[in-house]
Amino acid sequence: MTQHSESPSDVAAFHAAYDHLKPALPGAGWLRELRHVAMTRFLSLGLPGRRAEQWRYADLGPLRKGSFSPVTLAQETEQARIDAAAVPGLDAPRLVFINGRFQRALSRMEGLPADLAPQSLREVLITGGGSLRDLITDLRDGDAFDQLNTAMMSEGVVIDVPKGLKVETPVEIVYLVDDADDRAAHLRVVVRLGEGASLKLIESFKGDDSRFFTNLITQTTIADDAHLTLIRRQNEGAETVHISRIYATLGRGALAVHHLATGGQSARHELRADFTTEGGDVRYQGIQLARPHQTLDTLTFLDHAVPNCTSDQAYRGVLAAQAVASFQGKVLVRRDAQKTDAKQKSDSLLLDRSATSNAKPELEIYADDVQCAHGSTVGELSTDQLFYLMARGLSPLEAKAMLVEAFIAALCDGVPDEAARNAFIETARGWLQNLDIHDLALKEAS
Amino acid sequence: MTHLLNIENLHVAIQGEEILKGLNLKIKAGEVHAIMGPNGAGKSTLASTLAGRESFEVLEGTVRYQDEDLLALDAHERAAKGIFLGFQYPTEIPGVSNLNFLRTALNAQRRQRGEAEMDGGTFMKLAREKAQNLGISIEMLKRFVNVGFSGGEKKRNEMMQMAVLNPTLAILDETDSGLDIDALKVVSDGINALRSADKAILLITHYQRLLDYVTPDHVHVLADGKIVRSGGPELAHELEEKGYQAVA
Ligand SMILES: Nc1ncnc2c1ncn2[C@@H]1O[C@H](COP(=O)(O)OP(=O)(O)O)[C@@H](O)[C@H]1O
Ligand SMILES: [Mg+2]
Repeated sequence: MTQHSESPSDVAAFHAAYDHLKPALPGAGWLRELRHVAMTRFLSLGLPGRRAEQWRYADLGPLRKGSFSPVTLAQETEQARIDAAAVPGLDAPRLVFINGRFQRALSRMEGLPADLAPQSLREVLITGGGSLRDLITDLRDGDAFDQLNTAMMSEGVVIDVPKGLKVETPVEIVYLVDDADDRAAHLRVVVRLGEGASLKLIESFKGDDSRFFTNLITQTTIADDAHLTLIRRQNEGAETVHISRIYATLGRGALAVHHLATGGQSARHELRADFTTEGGDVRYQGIQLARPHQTLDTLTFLDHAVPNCTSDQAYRGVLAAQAVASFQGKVLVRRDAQKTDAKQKSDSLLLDRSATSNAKPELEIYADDVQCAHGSTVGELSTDQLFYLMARGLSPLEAKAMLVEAFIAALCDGVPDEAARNAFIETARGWLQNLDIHDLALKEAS
Repeated sequence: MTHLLNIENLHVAIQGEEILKGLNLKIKAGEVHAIMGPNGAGKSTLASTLAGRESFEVLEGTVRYQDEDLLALDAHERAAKGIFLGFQYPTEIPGVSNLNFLRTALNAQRRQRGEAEMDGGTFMKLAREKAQNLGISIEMLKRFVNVGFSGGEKKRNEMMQMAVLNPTLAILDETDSGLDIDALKVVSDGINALRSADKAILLITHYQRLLDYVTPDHVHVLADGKIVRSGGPELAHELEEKGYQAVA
């Protein structure tokens, strides 16, 4: 018997994959030790169960059943498939990952400013030495997926935007899954903005119907007067399990996240932001479109630890028949965080009564001079609006599609890049077109 | 000549309650008919039933339109065949611009009729022209459908839609209510512009006022779910003077 025989059975497959891969994982010395500690913690934590408050609405079933080992071989993917996964019409430098592996040859760096040089995380881990401790955030106190990611991370990208550099062009990252059943990608993306720097990252996740597991942590630090915009379109394949986390630490800077999630069999999206200096600002706009029998889950946690910071979160979910979509938004305003202004609004639209929407705003406020507002609604399509559109010639499906598009229009309009904005709208239209009238079934209330 | 619309013995229930109780009405192409009647008589119920509101249950009777069973068609199919309902209370649709809505509707109808879709440029030209006639600004066309519109603006917007969609049978449900005299003039001009030998208009109104601008060929009184009297334009004046009670 090995020393790990007592670990929960649902992590055994991950443990085996780790043991198998260990010699090939990039990095030595300190990093190797870090991985070992993380794996040990992962094994003792096990995958979170439904009783864990933060995982009540997620579906980790496929992870318990499956066995996912990281990809070691490069997949030969046609350029056309990568282009199809990217944001149409976006003329920007592009980093490409296929099945979790960085593809330098398929990426294009032209158009980047001279002093912006994204690096492959794998290469940095191998050559990094002592500076790695600054690079890799210690997630020792994190949950099982933090540990798993730390133990297994082998690919990713490091983007350092030097002080004062305002990157004019957006930078695109494409994560494509191609013919990779029972594989996993444990990715770590590090984005660091120096004082007064700015960057707009546009990310697309797309894949075929592989049974795949995407496990991404994006860690970012945003210095004073810096501004990071992160536009993310998660449209992975129908058999993929997706877990992605954004961990942001802000100085007196700003973070804007624009998120559209429709992909995966089960997908979980997290944003955690820590305010460390007065004047920080976080804007989050998230859309989830859940098709039948899919589970989509978003969790945000904004930690207002210092005074005079602002946050504004807007979430919209659209749920087809039998879908589950959830939004848990936590705002913590600590004792010292006077003059905090934190807004949160979540609205969900059920296309059928068999869908399940969970929306849980959670405000924990310990300061007394603050402005915090939150609201949450769940509704159905209006029969009056449907009749109005149909009386003008739209079929029931066209009418419903128009109203769904209208429901998320404000959040799409908020995307601060024209090509990405159009990609959001087109992705939503594609989602609608894949539904049939039964998924949208809604008897007119009479 | 056969009738464009022929309603016979129509009984309609809303939530199990019978609202229309054996209504008969025949309209020929080229004609303008006015229906007047007290509040709650069933005028809007008739209009919505003709437009295809699903939750209104037809208990009995037939409606033939262009020699076809109208009741067998869905609302959008009726629209494509030229039926237009000007709503008494136009619906607000946040997130959808008037222009997008109009173009989508027009092309949805054209597709159903097997016609080519209208391209953006041609559509904009058409929309601009119709808007100008109705005193509607391009600014207003870019706004969300009826959102934040005054009562009068909503009615004018209905006329705008009618002008662009160019229906064969326009059913206008109290399009004149809540309009000041200038707006009433604009709306009447819009209605008169639609009048032609192959089209018909059914005006539902509360007041004689509109009929001073749009002279109807026939006037009907609807009370308690039935047409209780029919006549020429003079009937409207009689109603105005004596009230529904005396006339019906
Ligand atoms: N959506 C509805 N639900 C329930 N009852 C309705 C509805 N619409 C109309 N009614 C009822 O039907 C009757 C006729 O209404 P309506 O057709 O609007 O009258 P009118 O337009 O002549 O004033 C009224 O008693 C009204 O309360
Ligand atoms: Mg009425």
